[in-house]
Amino acid sequence: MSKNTGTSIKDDILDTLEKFGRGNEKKNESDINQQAAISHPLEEDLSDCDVDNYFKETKHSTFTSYCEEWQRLFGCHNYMSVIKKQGFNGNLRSSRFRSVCWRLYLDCLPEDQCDWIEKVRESRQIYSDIKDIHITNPRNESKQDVTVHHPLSLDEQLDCINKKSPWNKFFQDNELRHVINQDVKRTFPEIQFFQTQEVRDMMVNILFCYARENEELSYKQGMHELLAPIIFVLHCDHQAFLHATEMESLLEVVKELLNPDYIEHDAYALFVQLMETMEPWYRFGRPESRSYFQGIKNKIMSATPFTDPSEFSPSSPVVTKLTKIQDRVLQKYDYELYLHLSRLEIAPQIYGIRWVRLLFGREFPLQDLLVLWDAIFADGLTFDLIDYIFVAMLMYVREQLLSNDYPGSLKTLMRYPPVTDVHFLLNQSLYLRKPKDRKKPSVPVYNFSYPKIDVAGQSKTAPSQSSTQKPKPNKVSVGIANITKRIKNKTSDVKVKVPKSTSEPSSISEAGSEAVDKSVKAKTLPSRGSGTMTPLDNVTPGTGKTPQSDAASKKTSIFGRPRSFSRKNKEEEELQHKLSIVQGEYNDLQDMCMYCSTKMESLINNVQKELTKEKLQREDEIMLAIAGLKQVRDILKGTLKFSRNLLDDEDEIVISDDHYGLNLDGESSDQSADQLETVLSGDIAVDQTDQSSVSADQSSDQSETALPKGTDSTNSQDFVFLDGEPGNGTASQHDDALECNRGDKLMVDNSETQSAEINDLDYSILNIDDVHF
Amino acid sequence: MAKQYDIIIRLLMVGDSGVGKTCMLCRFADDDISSTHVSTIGIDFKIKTLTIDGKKIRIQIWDTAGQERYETITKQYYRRAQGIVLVYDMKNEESFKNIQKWMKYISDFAPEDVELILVANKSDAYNSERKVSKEHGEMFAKEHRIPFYETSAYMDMNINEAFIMLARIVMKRHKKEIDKQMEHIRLFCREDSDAHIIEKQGKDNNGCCVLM
Repeated sequence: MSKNTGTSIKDDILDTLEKFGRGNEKKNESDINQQAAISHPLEEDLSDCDVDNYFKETKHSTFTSYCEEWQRLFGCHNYMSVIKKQGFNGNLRSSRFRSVCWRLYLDCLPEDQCDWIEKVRESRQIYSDIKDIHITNPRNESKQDVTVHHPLSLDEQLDCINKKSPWNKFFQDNELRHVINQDVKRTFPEIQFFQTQEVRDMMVNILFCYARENEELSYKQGMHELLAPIIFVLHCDHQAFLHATEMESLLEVVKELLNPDYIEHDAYALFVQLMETMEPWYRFGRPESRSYFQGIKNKIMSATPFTDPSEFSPSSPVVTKLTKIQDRVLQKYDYELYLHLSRLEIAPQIYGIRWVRLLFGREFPLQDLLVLWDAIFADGLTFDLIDYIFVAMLMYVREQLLSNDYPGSLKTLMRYPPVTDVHFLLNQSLYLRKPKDRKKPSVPVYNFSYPKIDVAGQSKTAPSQSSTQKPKPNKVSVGIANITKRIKNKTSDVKVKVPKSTSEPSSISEAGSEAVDKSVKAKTLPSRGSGTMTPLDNVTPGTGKTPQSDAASKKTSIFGRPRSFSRKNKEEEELQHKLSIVQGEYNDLQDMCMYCSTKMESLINNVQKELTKEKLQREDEIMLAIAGLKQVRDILKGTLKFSRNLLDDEDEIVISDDHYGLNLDGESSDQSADQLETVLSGDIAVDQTDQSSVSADQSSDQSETALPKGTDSTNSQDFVFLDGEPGNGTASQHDDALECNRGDKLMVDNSETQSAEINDLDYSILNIDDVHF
Repeated sequence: MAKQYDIIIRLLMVGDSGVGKTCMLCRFADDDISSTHVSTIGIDFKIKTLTIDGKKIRIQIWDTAGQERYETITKQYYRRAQGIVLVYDMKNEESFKNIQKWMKYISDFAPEDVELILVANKSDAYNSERKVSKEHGEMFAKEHRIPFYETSAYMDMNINEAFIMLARIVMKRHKKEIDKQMEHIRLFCREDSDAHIIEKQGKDNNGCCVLM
């Protein structure tokens, strides 16, 4: 039966097995044997004898395949591109030369293989020397006079002398060792390998030497978890090497490279190279400037209303990097998610510091982590891939994030859910970075825990079907409304560079505004189906869409809705085109901001340098002004997030918030729109209180413990809240309630449009200020 | 769907590396310390909802890394904190000495009306291991007029007491605002009976919708 020469072999076998059971298997043995390689799932179904053969063969070929693997990886002329490809494709998972690949990626080994042995010996010697210098015991070292360097003479007055005392150093070393040890003891508690004293000592030694070699940086928490995988990988390769040596003699260079005696040395060399790139992200903000800023903090707070003192001291590089990732990269690829995080004021440093500093070490199990690292290292010494993995990770949990409030979203990010297929994530990030070069990763079908990632084709499914898939459609429509609003803002930012006072919202084009209006209306109409379509349309590139420019993809998420109104494709294309033009202009503007900030930075530095030389009488005022300039620079640069809230206090969640509304009289303002969306999305309304308090607080002024005042925004919030109350009662049916209250809703949309215009105004004013500063 | 909480308070945990901040927090929030034997990198966060004096309180607790003292990133959490748990390890004298430095840091960055509490963790230690006596801790706390607890996250001793005490004094400090808030809640149909009515309305609307 299975001997027919049909094309779909796998199906045939399955058929055969099903029809004839195990009795017939032996007849088909040879056939199946051939096919086993193709259809892995069938391996189990093979008769025992086949499996045995299979394994015998494998075992027999261990040695040859060790050499073969070496040849395959490093044998050919342009081996670097070979191993890089292996790294990107996640093929080093079971490689026995992963550590060698890493050494090549990280520049521990030169590209010319002739120099390998020399280089390896050299770097090992370096570590030996370093270790000799730093890891010493003063008892052995000194035949020195006890009266000069007495271990107990640590008094203040002798301090200057004692700085050089080996005993002082000894005590300092002990302290450092204690700090390191405290973390090393807590390294990967679930992996036995790291619990042995031998490995722990090795880690402490390496980290200690690194800290002493880099006094300025010293040891920082987290480094231990960068070192641990390195040691692990070296150890695994050494085990494989030892196993292979038992069989036969190996190449000289392999013996040298993978000599297990030098695990500590080699780990140090790798770690140093890794830290070369990671080091800035372990730096704390410049502490010397803190006291200076501290001194004038209060004055500034009263002087400039939009000052956030926490942003005031120069931010550390890791914050700059994280801000860049969230505010630039994420914004580009998943605008809705970016908005969501911004709205909740989830700063990337809350969850991202750990992600970046540990290179995602806590977010993935070790084996998956190593696959990620393969790619990160293979990608180049700057580790640029981190940004894209970061964003891919955010997008991976986008539905969980979008459907959650502040604490829920934060929990998802800080306890990142297990990823079923790390290769998907990896491909996704590679794709995000170079959509042209990479094939769009296909969504794993078995990804049960994240059912929200849909394939592009599905977005055309019937509304009824999609509504069953999306239990909480309204949250998404909240997001959509936001995008619409923001897009309006953006477009006017770009096109109209003067404050706009009219209510004309759209300057893209007539068609554009029409579509926007449509999408707004779509929300008001009782069309649950169309509403639920959007999340599917919204799936960002990679998670299920054909490659498009970011502008285009944004477009789809916004204008996907009119499709259900049977608008013509042609028109859509036109819109798409126009939007990408707008996006282009927007990018230009961003570039301009970037240029201005860079220029400003250097100029400020000059001024400050010169000023500090002078002894000025009214230094405070000047410094104050400079500090203000720096803030403007940071806004331009994007490291200080700009929002219209900057005009007020940006503080969040205060105990005294008016969560439940008190005053009924109020007029709608931009707050009300936000609020309405929040409340209208019924089922999250309760949790959202957190968020509403955020906005309420933003609108109230400076004081931390501000009570709800009779400000416009507070009033409007109350108004909104009560308005939305009916929908609030039952979460699941809220959707329907909405439709009932269509009348109300129309009013809502009006206020929303209005608010969008208000935003327009704010944005353009501020942009002008910034740019022409 | 009645409200889940009435009031949010924000607490922060500080102290040297390895004194057991994360363990304490996990014990308090999840009643589980098994999964916490790793160092905190950056900042961590947990939420626990409690009922204190008949008020539902949602406690947001931010857990900092031990090296955080040198870091500027989390200053904003200081600024927003209403209560701070100062933790030292009674088996580690250095961590007790450093409480002074943490106090300094708090006075620099936290709001003036922040409430503090001093906690000596790892009270499950054997007497021979103890490096900081209870009297020392008490004296320090008295000097700064803050409550003092000896706790053990491992044995689950005094953990809840310490956190609840802090929550209480924070609530006391912000009594005015809280009372006002409670009043709003009372006035505006947030009690269960009224919530029920709203729910009913919602259902009515729902029925209406089906007809459409």
